Amino acid sequence: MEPLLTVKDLSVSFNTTDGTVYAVNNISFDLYPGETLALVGESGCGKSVTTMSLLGLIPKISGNNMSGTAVFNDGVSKKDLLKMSEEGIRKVRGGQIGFVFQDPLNSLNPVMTIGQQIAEPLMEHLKIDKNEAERRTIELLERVHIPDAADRIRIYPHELSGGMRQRVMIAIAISCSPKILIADEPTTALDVTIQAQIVDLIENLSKELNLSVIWITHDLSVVAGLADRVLVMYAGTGIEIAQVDELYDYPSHPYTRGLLGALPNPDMESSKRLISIPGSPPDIYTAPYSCVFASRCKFAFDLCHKELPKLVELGNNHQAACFIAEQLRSEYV
Amino acid sequence: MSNENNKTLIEVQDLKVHFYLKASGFFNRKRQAVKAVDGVTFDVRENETFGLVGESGCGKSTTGRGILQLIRPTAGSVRFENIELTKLGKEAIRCMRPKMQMIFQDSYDSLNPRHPIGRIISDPLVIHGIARRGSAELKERVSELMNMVCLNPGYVNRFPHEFSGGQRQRIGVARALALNPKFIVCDESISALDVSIQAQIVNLLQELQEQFGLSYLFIAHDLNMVRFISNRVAVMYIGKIMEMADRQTLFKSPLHPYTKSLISAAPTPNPKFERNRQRIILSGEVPSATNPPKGCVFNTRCPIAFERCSQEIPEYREVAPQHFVACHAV
Ligand SMILES: Nc1ncnc2c1ncn2[C@@H]1O[C@H](COP(=O)(O)OP(=O)(O)OP(=O)(O)O)[C@@H](O)[C@H]1O
Ligand SMILES: Nc1ncnc2c1ncn2[C@@H]1O[C@H](COP(=O)(O)OP(=O)(O)OP(=O)(O)O)[C@@H](O)[C@H]1O
Ligand code: SF4
Ligand SMILES: [Mg+2]
Ligand SMILES: [Mg+2]
Repeated sequence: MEPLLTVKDLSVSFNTTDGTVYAVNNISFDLYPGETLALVGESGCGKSVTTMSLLGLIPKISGNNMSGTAVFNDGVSKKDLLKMSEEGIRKVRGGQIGFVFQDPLNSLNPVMTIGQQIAEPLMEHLKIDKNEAERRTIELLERVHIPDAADRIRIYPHELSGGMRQRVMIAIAISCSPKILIADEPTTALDVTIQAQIVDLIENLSKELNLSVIWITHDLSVVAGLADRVLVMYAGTGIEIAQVDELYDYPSHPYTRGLLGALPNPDMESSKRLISIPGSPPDIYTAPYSCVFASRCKFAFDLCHKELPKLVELGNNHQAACFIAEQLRSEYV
Repeated sequence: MSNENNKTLIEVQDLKVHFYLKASGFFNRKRQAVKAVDGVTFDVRENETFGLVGESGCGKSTTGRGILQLIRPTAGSVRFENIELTKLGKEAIRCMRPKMQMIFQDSYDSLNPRHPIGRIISDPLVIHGIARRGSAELKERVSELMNMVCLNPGYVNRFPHEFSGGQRQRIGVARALALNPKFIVCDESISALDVSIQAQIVNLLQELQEQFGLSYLFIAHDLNMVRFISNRVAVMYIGKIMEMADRQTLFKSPLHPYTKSLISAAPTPNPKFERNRQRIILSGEVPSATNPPKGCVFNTRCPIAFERCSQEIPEYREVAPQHFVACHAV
C-alpha cells in the first residue's frame, strides 16, 4: 500500500530573542490509508509544531525556517504540503485534511453560532448553497452525537460544555470528507468519562470514513488504546517508531523504556518505586549534534555525546535512534 | 506502608462546604447555593495515603481545603488528632497549621516570583517563629530541606523562574515539609508535570512518607497513579462520596456503577488490554452542583438506575468491612 502522506526530514526552527529554537529536527514518517499514527512525547518536544507545519500554520516570517518535504498523495496527484501556496494550503486545511485541537474554545469563533461555523467552510469548500449547507450541518451534528442538533445550530460556543465543543470541532473537521484527521491533544482538557466518549467517537468515525488519523498526545495510556503505530519524539527528534504492540512490548530506545517505566501499572505494588528518568529535557537552542537523550540516559557512553544516532531498522518496521538499540531490542528474545 | 491498625489521624464527619452565589436580578432574593461538598465522611490514618478521585468540579479541592480550614466548612466535623478543627478560632488554627500542609497543582502560581527559593522555603519557619531570618540555624534547615527533595542547596539564591516545572514542584514540597507536618494535601500536585518528572515526584513523596510517617490526601484525576500511590481511595461525584475502599478492592471489585464506569473509562498503558476491554461509556455530562439531581446525584447518568434512584438519596453505608458504598442497587 502506498502511503497517503510521506514526511521526510522535516525541520522547523524559530528565531527568538533568546536565540534560535530548534523545535523539530529531521522528522520522517509515513501515514498509510486508514491507520492511526500517534505522535507522543513530553511537553515542548515538537509535536504541535510538526503538525502545524503540515497544515501550513507556521507563520512564514523571517527567522522561521522550515525544510524537508511532506508529500500528500490523494490518489489523483501528489503535492508537497510544505511548498504549497497560501491559497493552496488553505484549500487542503479543513478540506482534505481536517483538524481538531486541544482547546476548542480557542478554535471556535465566540460570536458565531455553531451552525454558521460549520456551514461556512462547507459552502466554501464544497460550493453548495445555504439550505444544503444547513441540512448537512444538522446531519454532521447528529453524526457526532449532539442531541437536538436542529435546535443546537443556533447556539454559541460558550453555551456548550467542553466535551460538546470538541464534538462540534470534530463535526467541522470531518465536514468536507477529509482523508486525514489531525487531532492535537483533543481530549487532554476533558474528564475521563468525557475523554472516553470522544476517543470512541473519533475511532468510530475513522473506521466509517476510512480516515487516516495523526493523534498527538503525551498520554501513553490513551495511545495504547487507539494507535496502530506510534512515533515517539524527544527534544524535537523522532527517536522511535513502531507498531503499537511492538513498541510497548519491546521498547528499544532508552527514553521510550524510561517513559513506559515511569507509568504505574495497574497491578503494581505500591511498595515498588516507579522508574524515573533523572534530570529534565535539554533546552533546544542548538541543533542536535549528539544524541538528544544522552544527558539523561543511563546507558550513555562516549559516542553518544559526540555523534547523532540515526534511526536503525530493528525488524518488524521498528526503528529507533540509539547506538545500542539493536542490543536493547535483542534483550527481549 | 500503613495497614488497618494504624491510628486515625484525621476524621471527617458529614463535611459540608456550600458556596453562596449572589442572586441575579432584583426580585430574586434567594441566593443560589453551590453544594461543592455535601456530606462526606472518611478518615485518614497515620502513615497512609488516601486517594480522592472524581471528575472536574466534584469537590475534591474543596474537601481538601475544608479539612485544612482554608475554607471554613458549612457543617460537619473535622478532627485532627482528636481536636475539632471546625470549632477553633483563627489563632488556634494558625497554631495547628505547621502540622497540616498543602502542595498545589501549579507550584508556579504558589511561589512568589520575586523571592529567591531560600526565602520561599524558609518563610514558614520564620512566620511560625521557629527560626530567625538570617540565622545559621535557618540556613542549615533550608539546606537540609533542599537535600531532602534532591535540589542542589547551591541554588538557594535562584528565583522560581530559573527552575523547571519538576524542580519548582520540589520547592513546593520542601516548603510544605519545612514545619515537619504530619499531614499533606497533595492537590493535583503532579498533574501538570511530564510523565518522567511525575515519577520523580511520586517517588520522592513515597520516600518522605516512609522516612517521616507522613499522611497524604492525594487528589488527582490520573486513576493509574492514584491506584499506585494510595492505600485507600474515595470516589466523589457532585459533592458526595459514592464509594470508598482499599485500593485493591476499589479497583479490582468496585461496586458502585459510577466507580465501575470511571475505572472502565480510564485507559491503561497496555495495548492488548485496551483493545479487548469493554468500556462502559457514560452518556451525557456531569450535572451542575448548583442544581444537582434529586435522589441519587448519579441517577441521570447511571446505566442501571431505577425508579427509587431519582426519588431517594441512597445511604452511604458499609457493605463489607471497610468498604462503603452509596447506591440503591448494591
Ligand atoms: N512560534 C514559535 N516561536 C518560537 N518557539 C516556538 C514557537 N512555536 C513553538 N515553539 C517552541 O518549539 C518547541 C516545540 O513546541 P511544540 O508546541 O511543538 O511542543 P509540543 O510537543 O506540542 O508540546 P505540548 O505537549 O506542551 O503541547 C517548544 O520549545 C516551543 O516553545
Ligand atoms: N470559592 C468558590 N465560590 C463558588 N463556587 C466554588 C468556589 N470554589 C469551588 N466552587 C465550586 O465548587 C464545586 C467544586 O469545586 P472543586 O474545585 O472542589 O472541584 P474539584 O473536584 O477540585 O475539581 P477539579 O478537578 O476541576 O479541580 C465546583 O462546582 C466549583 O465551581
Ligand atoms: S443509586 Fe441508583 S442511580 Fe445511583 S448509582 Fe446506584 S443504581 Fe445508579
Ligand atoms: Mg502541543
Ligand atoms: Mg481541584
